[in-house]
Order: sequence, then C-alpha cells, then structure tokens
Amino acid sequence: MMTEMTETKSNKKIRRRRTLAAVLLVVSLLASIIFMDHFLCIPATFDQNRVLLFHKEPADSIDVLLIGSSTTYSGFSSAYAYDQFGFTSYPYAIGGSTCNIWKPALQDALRTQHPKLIVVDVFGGGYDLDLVESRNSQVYTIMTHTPLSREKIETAKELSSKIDRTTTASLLLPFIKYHNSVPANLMDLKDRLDVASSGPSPLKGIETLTRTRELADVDDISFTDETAPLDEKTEAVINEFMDYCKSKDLNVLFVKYPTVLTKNDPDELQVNLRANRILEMADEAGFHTLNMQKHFHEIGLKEREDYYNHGHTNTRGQKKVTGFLGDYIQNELGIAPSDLSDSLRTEWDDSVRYYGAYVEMSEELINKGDPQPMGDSPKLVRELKKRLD
Amino acid sequence: MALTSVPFAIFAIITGILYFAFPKREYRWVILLISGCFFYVYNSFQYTAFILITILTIYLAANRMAAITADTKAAVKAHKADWSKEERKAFKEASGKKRKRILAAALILNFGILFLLKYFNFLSGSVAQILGSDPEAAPQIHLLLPLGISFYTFIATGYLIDVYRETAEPEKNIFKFALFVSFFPQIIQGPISNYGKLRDQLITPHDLDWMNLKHGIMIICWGLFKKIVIADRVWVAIRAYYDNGGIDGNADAAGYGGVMVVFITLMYALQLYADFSGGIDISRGICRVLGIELEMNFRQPYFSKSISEYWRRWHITLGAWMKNYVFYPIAMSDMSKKISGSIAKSSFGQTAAGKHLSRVLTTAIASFIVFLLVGIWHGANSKYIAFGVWNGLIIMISAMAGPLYEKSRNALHIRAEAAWWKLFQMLRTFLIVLVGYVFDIADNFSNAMRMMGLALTDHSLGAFRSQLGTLGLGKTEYLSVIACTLILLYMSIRLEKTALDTPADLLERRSGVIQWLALFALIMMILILGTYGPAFDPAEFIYMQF
Amino acid sequence: MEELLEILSDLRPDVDFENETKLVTDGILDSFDIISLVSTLNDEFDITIRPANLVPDNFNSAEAMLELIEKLQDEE
Repeated sequence: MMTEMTETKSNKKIRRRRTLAAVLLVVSLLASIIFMDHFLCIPATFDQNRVLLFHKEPADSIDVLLIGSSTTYSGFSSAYAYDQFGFTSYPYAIGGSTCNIWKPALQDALRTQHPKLIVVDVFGGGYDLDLVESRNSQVYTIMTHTPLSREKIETAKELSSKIDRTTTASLLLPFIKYHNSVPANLMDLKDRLDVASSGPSPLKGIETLTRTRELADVDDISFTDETAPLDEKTEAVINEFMDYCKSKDLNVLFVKYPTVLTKNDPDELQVNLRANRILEMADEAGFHTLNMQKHFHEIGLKEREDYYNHGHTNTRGQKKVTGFLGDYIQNELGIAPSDLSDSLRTEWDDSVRYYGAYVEMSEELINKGDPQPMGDSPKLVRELKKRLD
Repeated sequence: MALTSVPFAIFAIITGILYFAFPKREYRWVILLISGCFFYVYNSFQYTAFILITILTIYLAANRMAAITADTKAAVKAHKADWSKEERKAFKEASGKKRKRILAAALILNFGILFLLKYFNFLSGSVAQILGSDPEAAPQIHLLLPLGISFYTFIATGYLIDVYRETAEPEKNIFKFALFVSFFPQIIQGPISNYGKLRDQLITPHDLDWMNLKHGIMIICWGLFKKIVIADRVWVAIRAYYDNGGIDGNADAAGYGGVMVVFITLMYALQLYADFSGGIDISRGICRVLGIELEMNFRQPYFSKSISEYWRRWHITLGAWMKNYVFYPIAMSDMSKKISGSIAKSSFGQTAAGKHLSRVLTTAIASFIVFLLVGIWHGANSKYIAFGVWNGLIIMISAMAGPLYEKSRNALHIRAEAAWWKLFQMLRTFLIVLVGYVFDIADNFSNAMRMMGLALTDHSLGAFRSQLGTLGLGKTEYLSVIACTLILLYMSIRLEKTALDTPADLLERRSGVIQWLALFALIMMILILGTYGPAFDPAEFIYMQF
Repeated sequence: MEELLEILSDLRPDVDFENETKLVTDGILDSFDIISLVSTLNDEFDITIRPANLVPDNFNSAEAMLELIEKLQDEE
C-alpha cells in the first residue's frame, strides 16, 4: 500500500517536472524568437535608429512630418528648422525608399503624431518598376517597430502582394526573413539596446556625410517641368497613397529635393522627369507641390561646396535647403509652430545646440578631408555632448 | 505539401491530435487512413486513380491467392483417403500454378503502370533515336508521376509476394490494407515498409506516451536540421552549378574546372544524404510520436567499408526489398542452379578458380541485375543505368575476386582489424560512391565521363577559388555548412560507435537538463540557420519525383 | 548438427557458429554467404530452401538452421 502511494506520488512528480520542462522549452523558444526579432534581425543602421527614435518623440509634438528617402534626411535638419522658424519636425525617412514605403511610413507615424503638414519626397516614386517592386528592407524597418494591430496585418497583406520577396508572415515577424543575420548582428546588439533604451534624440534623425566633391555644374535641363510617364503599377501605388491622404484629410506637400543633375546621368534625368510627373499628379489632386530643383540657384546651392555626392547635401547644403523649405512651409503654406510645453521647449532648444556642435564637427571633418557618415546614434550624441560641455 | 513546410507541420499536428483524442481506440487507425487519403488527394488529386488501382488489385490478388490455398488444403484433406500421392501432388501443383498466375498478373499490372509512367517517354525517345528519327517528336505521355508511386508500388508488391510465399497472412479488410499502402509518412519518399513489420503497428491503437513524444520530436528536429540547415543550403551551390552550365558553362558563365567537379561531388554527397535521411527522420519522428516504429533507412552509410555494405546502410529498405524479392529468387532459381552446376561439372570447374566461380558467378550476376534495377528505379536516363551498372560491376567483381583479394591482403600482412585499414576501406568505398554520384550530377553519360576526366586532369586551385564565389553562397554560409557538417559527423560517429539508432537514443543516456539544452540548441539552430522564409527560394525535394 | 557445423565452418572458418545467435541481423553472414549456404544445404540434406524461408529467424544461429532443415525434411 505504501509503495503504491509513493509510486503514484513520484509519477505525479515526474509528470509535473515533464510538463514544466515542456512549458519552459516553449516559453524560452518564444521569448528567444521575440528577442531576436526585435534586436538581432534588422542591422543597427542609422535608418533603424531614425525610426526607433521617432517613436521616442512625445506624442503630438511634431508639427511637420517629412516622409521620404535619403534626400530627406540629408537635405533637412529639424533642429535647424526649429531654430529658424520655430516649428517642430521629424524626417521619417529610410534610405532607398520607393513610393511603396510612403503609406506604411505615414500610417505608422500617424499612430502617435498629428502633424499640421506632411512633406513627401517624390524621388522614391521615380525609380524603375523592378526597383519599386523589389526594394523591401525599408518596409521591414517600419514594420519591425510597429506594434501588432489589425491595421498592421492589413498593411502586411497589402505590401506582400505588391512587393517581391515579402510575405505577410515575415512582415509581421521579420525574424522569418532575417533569421540568418542573427549571428552577424550579435556584434551590434549593444548599440541596438542602447538606442532602444534611450529617450528622444537631440539630433532628430539627421544624417549626412562630411565631404565635398568636384562635381560638374548642374545642368539647366534639370530645371524643366517636363514629365515622363510612370509605370502603371507605380502610378497605382501613388494614386492609392494620395487617396489615403485625402481620406484622412491630411495637409500634404509633395516636394522634390534639389540635386546636382547633369547631362551625364540620363537615368537620373529620367527619374527627375518621372518625379515631375508625380508633382503634376499631386497638383491635379489638389495637394501642394514644390519643385526645389527649379530653385537650385535661388537656394544658393554650390555644387562643389554643398554636396557630398550629386544626390545628397552635406551640412552646408542642408542648412540652405532647410532654410528654403522651412521658409516655404512657414510663409507660403502658413504653418505656424504649436505652443510647446516647457519640457518640449527645453528638448528642442537643446537640439539646436546639438546641431551647432554637429555642424562644427562636420566642418572640421570636411576641411580635414575626412569623409565620415554622421548619423543619429547614441554614440554620436555622446561625442557631441563632450564638445558642448 | 513539402515535408518541411508549415502546412505539412499543421497537417501532421492535427492528425496527431485527432488520433490521440479519438475516443474509440480500436478505430484510431481510421484517423490515419483518413489523414492519408486527405494528404494524397491534396497533393496528387489527378493521379489518385493509380494508387486506388494498386490497392484494389493487390488486395484482391492477395485474398484470391489465400482463398486458393485454403481451398486446396480443404480439398486435399477431404480427399485424404481416395487420392494417391501423385494425384495430391498434381492438384497442389495446379493450385500453385493458379496462384502464380494471379501473382504474375498483379505484378505485371502494377509494375507495368509504374514502368509506363516513369519510363515510357525515355524509351520512346530512345527507340526513336535508334530508328534514326527525331527523339523530340516521338510519342510522349504528358503526365507527372503520381505521388510516391515508386514507393507504394514496391510496398504493395512486397506484401503480395509475401502472401504468395505464405510468409504473411493477407489483409482481409480493404480499408486496413489501404492504410498500409497509403500511410502518409512513408508515401513521399519511403521507407519501403515491410507488411509484417508495419501492419500491426498501424492497426493497434496507441496512446500518447511521453517518451515517444519526446523522442519523436527530437528525431523530427534532427531531420529538420539535416534537411533545412545543411541540405537546402548546400543545394543552393549545386543548383548554381547547374544553372551556370556545369563543366560546359553557358552564355553567362564559363565552365567549371576539375577541382570544382570534386568539390560539387562532395557537396552532392553531403546534400543527398542530409536531404534524404533528414526527410526520413521527419517521417520516423512523426511515426514515433504516434507510437509507430518505421524502419530505419539509413545507418551512417558513408562509414561503409565496401559497396555491398553501403547498400545495406543506404536506402536500407530498397536494398532489403531487392534482396528479398529479386536477388534471392534469381540467385536461387533453377536457371542459376543449372549454370552453377554446369560450371562445376566442366573441366574448368575442377580448378580452384573454377570451383569458386561456380559458386559465386550466378549470385554475382544476380547482384548485377539488382543494381541495374536500382539504377533504373532512380529514373529514366542513361546516366542512372550507368549508375546502376557501376555499382553492379563493383559488387560483381568484388564477389568474384573475393578470395584473390583476401590472398593479396594476407600477403601484404594487413590485419583486417587494423584501424587504419578500416579507414582505408571507408575512404576507398566513399570514393567509389562519389564516382557513382558523378553519374547523378551529370546531364548524361558522356557528360559524366567528361566530368571525371576533368577531375583527374585539371587541378587548378586558383580557378577553383574564383569559381567558388559563383555558387551563390558567401563565406559565412560555407562556415555554417562546415560547422553543421562537423556536428553531423560527430553524431554519426557516436551513433556508429554505440550502435544506437538516433541522436534521441544518444541523448536519452544524459540527464534531463542536458536533453533539454540540446533540444533547445537544436531548435535554435534550425530557427536561425534554416533556409526558410522569403530570403530563400524553396529547394526541390529530390526524392519527391520518384 | 555436426554435419551442419562442418558445412558452416567450411563456408566461413572465421565465424564461431556454435555460439553466435545473430548471424544475419548482425550482418556476419551476408547475402552471398546465404546463397552459398543454401545451395550446399539443399544438396547435403536433400531439401529445397525457397526465398520465402530466407528470414533472419531461420538463419541467425546454427540451431535455427537445423530447425529449418528438419522442418523442410518433414514436408517432403
């Protein structure tokens, strides 16, 4: 009798232990997957940081939201705009973005911000169709930092049908696509955790390169208003985006950032013409448009001083473009800065100081002839803090 | 539904849950039958008729044969008094002939279907070539193969022959028989199960058992590791080799050199083993969870010390099938006996060589025929026939030259037990196997010969190094292949030394914590290093077209 | 049994037939050995071993083989 009782007792103990082991296994696997998904899948780049840090900004604190690609974050300085015009802004922009990225980026941004104006960089709509259909890492960057919701699932389904090599499942869990990079990304884990645990950055997602180039003069043909037709599919994407903006009753300005286009870049000129077409479409749809290419000289841009390559401005050119665009936003579109709370004002005043240090450091490196990418990251912020102290 | 796909996993899990949850235990086998039907119809709907024909014809043939046996016995018993010995014998012989005719008819029908579907196009083209007309214009059947036809045909006919030999009782319930033939874990790529070993396991109800569940999952994970971490990744390189035109090259890329031939063949050896045995492990793991022990199909084949041994360790169930139903019948046939006898009686047969040959020649020829068939089983291409002939010749020659071989070894004072000698035998066997693989990789026979020629003559390492980058795998990928292969090698050595069946058995000897950690690590490796997701193209499961 | 053991040791002098009980399942005797053995046994004991009889149980030990021989002798 006694042995029977102890036997069932030990059976129960064994069963309990086994259940525990099984549950522990499943839980630890799930936890590992989620951890890897958040911190080890998409590499720690300035693009990643920019989106992550956007989400650190306090809700409803951004007056002007800029959507686009590398021309946006290199061409516009939110800190400088605040300094000159008083409105707050943020570049929700990821390098190489195509027009497929605009809607998911905007959707994600609108979860926490209600900007008075949205500035869309049309350059990403001018790419060739196969580029538009294949560029997908940017959507993963956006989706990784978007919390799960019905809207996210819908967006994932939509995007996976439009973009090659994406699936709904992997857009909801990027681990499915990026799991192979986990071992390599272990090296960046510290940086990723750094960014994830930080507050809003004073650099406001900025990124340029500290260099000038012996570029040829910009050609007048780049100032044209001529358009080239878009591919059917690209046009559909852009129309859908515009419909989305209308449905949300958003105030949108479609811009083309100024670049050093010459006769020697027929492909780039073609993209320029297609971008013009997008501006035309936006205009027809009743949105604001601004073709900054046409104002290249008016902005005061100097090809061999203000650009680090033919498509992107360094800090010098950045200030000029920000000045021009900011002025247009304030005076032509009448966007007035919101009243800021004390803490917000302190934060933004701080960002002006940091931008000053940023420009100072950039100038030093440009004059030294040392080309360095300077993008928003806790490391750079710490470095600039040393300068300010 | 590929074996490593999510839909299949969901299907298997649902089947498992339904099986163990089904309250009427004695009918749990019906769940297995239904899942098998679902799986077959889902994957191969248009060709379901073929497996139904096989199930029906073999079922009827087996029962008919058993009925004749029963009737004969009854008749003999009834006429015990009034029949003479000759009459009894004649009656028995007549019944025997009847049974043989039924067996022959069923075999011809079922193998005929297999043969036609698999080889008609190849033969039609070959005949056209021989006749001098355009092989492309020859009549063709435009059908894909029904799922698993090469496997279920063998499974069913093996059963029928067992019934004929009266080593198995025929299955009276057609649904139970249908389950045996269409059981989904073995339909994709085997093993070719033996009726005696499998039938009772399928019908007897099983309950969810912790050990079976644990080990089953471990075996599945090990199979997944082999398949999607190693095999599918290596396949990228082999695929690139093909896409770039192999040794001939194409418009986009120049041909590959001799060192690359060796490299790709080694990669192929790894890929084929990991892919096939990995898939088998997944099937066996699923069955283990269900409480069913599916036969082993691989036993560290690359450790074989001879080609004969290799075919007892590689695709074990195919070798066993051939041995039982082709080799023994041929080797023990009257024709063989006659041939052996006439050699033994001849003057040549009085010599030592002649004596040896009289005993060995017919079995050697039987082996050769077996391997010819094995080659043909793999596919309709002259290179597969060459593959079969290559293996067959090796085995034939080693059988016939056996004593010569032993003599020379003794003359050189080589101990058969010496470790280095065993290693030498393994490497030699592996080399022979690699030559066989070249036939697999090549487009056709002449391409294979040219590949081997290149491997012998072109040793340019510089060219190899630059060509290595064109195979679609980066440095880190090669590193992970090497690391995982080392893990595989370690496991294989442990299994070989302990004579255990699976890594699950190896782990069972360790503490619970170690088992838990090992399983966790294995699953993490599969999750991180597995070739799945939108970053990869799905690899074709090689044996699925059989 | 004596006769059987003699035949077996002639075929494979290196194997201990008196004590081995897993001649087939352990792969000690391979297919060629079996075929040779079968033809010799057929001749010596005047029986007909058929493929159906070639199961491991019948050939795993000398005892098992003797049982098979006796069974087949009875049937004739």
